[in-house]
Amino acid sequence: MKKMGGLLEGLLLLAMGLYMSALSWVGDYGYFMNPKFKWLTATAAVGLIALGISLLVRPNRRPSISNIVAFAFLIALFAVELDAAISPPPDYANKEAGQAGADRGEPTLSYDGRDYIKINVAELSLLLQGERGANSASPFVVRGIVKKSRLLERQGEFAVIRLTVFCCLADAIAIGFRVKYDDIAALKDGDWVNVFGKLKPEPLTREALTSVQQNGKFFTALEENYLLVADHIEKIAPPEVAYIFEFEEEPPYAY
Amino acid sequence: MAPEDISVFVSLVIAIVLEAAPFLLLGSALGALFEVYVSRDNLARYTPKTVTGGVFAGLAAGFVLPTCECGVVPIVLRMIRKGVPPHMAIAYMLAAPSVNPIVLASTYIAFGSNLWMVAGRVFLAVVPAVLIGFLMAGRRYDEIVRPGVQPDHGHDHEIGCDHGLEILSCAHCEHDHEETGTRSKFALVLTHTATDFLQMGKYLIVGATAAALFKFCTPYDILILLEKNVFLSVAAMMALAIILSVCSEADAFVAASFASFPAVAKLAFVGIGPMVDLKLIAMYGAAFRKRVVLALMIAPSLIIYGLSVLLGPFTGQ
Repeated sequence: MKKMGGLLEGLLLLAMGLYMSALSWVGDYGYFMNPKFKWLTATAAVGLIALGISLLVRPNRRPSISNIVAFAFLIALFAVELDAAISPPPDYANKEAGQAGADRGEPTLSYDGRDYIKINVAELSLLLQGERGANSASPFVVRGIVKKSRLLERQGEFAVIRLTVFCCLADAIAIGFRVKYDDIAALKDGDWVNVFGKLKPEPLTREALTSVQQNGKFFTALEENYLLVADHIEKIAPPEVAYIFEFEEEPPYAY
Repeated sequence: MAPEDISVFVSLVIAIVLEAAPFLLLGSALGALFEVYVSRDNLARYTPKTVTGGVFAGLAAGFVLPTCECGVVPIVLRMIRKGVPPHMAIAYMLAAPSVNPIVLASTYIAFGSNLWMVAGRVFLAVVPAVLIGFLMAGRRYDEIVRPGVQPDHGHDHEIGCDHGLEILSCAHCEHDHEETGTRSKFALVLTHTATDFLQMGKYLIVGATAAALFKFCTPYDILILLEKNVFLSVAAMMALAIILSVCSEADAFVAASFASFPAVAKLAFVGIGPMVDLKLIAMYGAAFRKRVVLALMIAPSLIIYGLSVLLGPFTGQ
């Protein structure tokens, strides 16, 4: 019985290592983690596979039931999300995209004869912090999801947000901007849009920030000193990589 | 919970475990190497003899070794069991996840190249680490380490140790592993690493599950209402850090996104998270006695809360 428990511990470590390995090499890693950490998970997977095999060869003589239960629970969760580990990630190569799915094509998009700097909402937000706010007069284009609230609508605004994953899904935050736009009725919550516009200094109120929160999910952080005045908004198909993983401080931005 | 929520919950638990697992594995491996290759004699020779020297040596190690909170607990346990004074090991454990070079660099970037925020983070890590280090001075090993980790001599020594003990199974043996051959030593490192990883990993899984559940209950709209009051906003951000259990290498970005909160509340967030969060509490519980776990939860919380509130007037709040 004890030997069986010892072997089980080895099998569970092996299963954990194999899941992490599959996720790193063939799966949709970005579903859980920022792809820049793929090497770390892949390395740890090799270590766990080695440890699992070592325990199978020489099992613990006193296996712990609680260890087995906890790791069996984890493997059950892995099974629920097995699809993520074995389904290939979005095809970045066909989209002139970087490792993490950022658009690395032309640095600007044109509308009505004018070039707008492509930038993601997290980069634009970082750019506006501290001394780097000097570029705020430039025209920008950002993409994200429409988030409406009654309060914002009364002000002729909506929020454009995008989930930003710094390290893993647990630290993800929806970062975004208020957008001033004339035809909000044409947009609905969850639409993916490109917003072409310029920044205008206007402080965010606490009520406006509260109105876009989604309790129990992810915190929504709106830029607090500026809003985007939209020159044009176009609906777009959801990008293959919905999250923001990359941040550049200078052009070309990760968009 | 709706099916979509269950999917998010499962993804969150997996994400936290995936994020922490490499560091826990590294910590387990370093702890095992330490156990097998570092002799008590050498350790005693190089360990500062005074409490002050020990606390500051632990602190200094925190600044140079890139250890995150997920991996530091098994390393520190091995250190204590091997004879490193608890005041030195605990000072290292509390400071290292906050002040190592990688974390300081990410803090600098996240807060828009603001060196004051980096300095504030260091301050909020060093002061509790030093104070709690001194609090642990003079404590015996069995006053610090959990009873379940106590020596159990019901094992044979054919390859040095039994490997089936609850945790950190070898430090109780009155021998050093240098006595065994190279192959045996490598095998010992593997089995010690596996044992520690399984034992600590169990608590990581429990902590990650709790963190994912609590995340579903976080009332962000109420949190925002507290932002204008320093006393409440600092407390709220500290509670959020404990619940979210964010890795110390990413926590500054999360804190920075709470743009409308006072700077001291953001500092409190990055100050408390690497010392006390749900997964860490679970891991502390696996390693230390209850009153030490309580001390490790309460003392940093009180110190960081007090310091953050006191810093308020200096940062314009």
